[in-house]
Amino acid sequence: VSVRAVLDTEMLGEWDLLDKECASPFLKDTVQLFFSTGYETLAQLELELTRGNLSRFKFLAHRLKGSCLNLGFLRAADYCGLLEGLEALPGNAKETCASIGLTLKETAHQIETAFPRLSGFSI
Amino acid sequence: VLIDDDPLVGPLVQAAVGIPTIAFPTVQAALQEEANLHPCAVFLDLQLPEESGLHALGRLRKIWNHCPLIVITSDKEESALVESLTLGADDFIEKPLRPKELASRLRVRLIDHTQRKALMVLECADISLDLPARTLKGPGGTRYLSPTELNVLSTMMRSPDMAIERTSLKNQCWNGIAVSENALDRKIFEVRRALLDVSSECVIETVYRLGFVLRSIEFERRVSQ
Repeated sequence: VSVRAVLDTEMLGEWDLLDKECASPFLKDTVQLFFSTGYETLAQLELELTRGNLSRFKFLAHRLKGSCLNLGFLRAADYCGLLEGLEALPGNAKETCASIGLTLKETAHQIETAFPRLSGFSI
Repeated sequence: VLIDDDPLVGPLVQAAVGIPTIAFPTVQAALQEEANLHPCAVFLDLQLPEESGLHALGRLRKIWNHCPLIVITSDKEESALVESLTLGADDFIEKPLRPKELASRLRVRLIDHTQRKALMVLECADISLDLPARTLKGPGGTRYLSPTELNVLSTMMRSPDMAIERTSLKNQCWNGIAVSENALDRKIFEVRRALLDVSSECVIETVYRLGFVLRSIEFERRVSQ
């Protein structure tokens, strides 16, 4: 499976530019919110995997994909897309969930490097 | 108003469009607050818990028919786009959301809706004339008008405080069909009666040897000052 870059700095850069112009900055809180809810969703995905609830599993994967896309977290979005497209729950879905977890860590690291003013969020 | 179960979308949309945004995670949550909401635009996600955006779209379109309804989704299927537009969405934006694109599309849709509304609902002083619904509304209530009464009043509301010649009024309101002076007088009488019922500020005055004029009390006040 070919996966895209971890972080689309251009896309996150567009939000960053808007954030700098905004009277009330929003981006740092939004990124923090992503990592809080993102890991929660990931935990729910693993739970639904254990339960074998495919429709709920796909719904959560779709929502996480949308969140990732909006902030330019391309690779995590691609993994979510893989989960969303599943027609059944194969064994390697768990591995894909684990890959999302690792990718989110890498995403956080890249944000802190490319956008230092957004750093300081907890994952 | 934003209906999206992703909590991230609210802050992003608000920042991009520069308008306070009230976000709801489900259609039901938004509908519970419907009476208190007077949105200038509605953004709707398609994949929602409980009821999908697509399923609710027609209903939401009827409730908020005065403002643009824009679908935002990461669903790339053409059928979702076609179905959304068929059910009454004004636009369809694919995720990822881009701030400039969001703001531009909303601006275009707001202009579009304002222009459409101006063509369909005429306003003058305390009355409004809804052309598709053929209703005249004012503080005194609502009156339904016949097609010709609607033509007469809409012609006069498009040029308030300006005298319109009888011939011009007949041509415009009966689409060039020759009608008697009496027919015009009869319609003016009916429209005056409707105005009297619903409005306390608008009257049709006769302009001797010329025609008629729709006057508002506000105009009279300005003239007397």
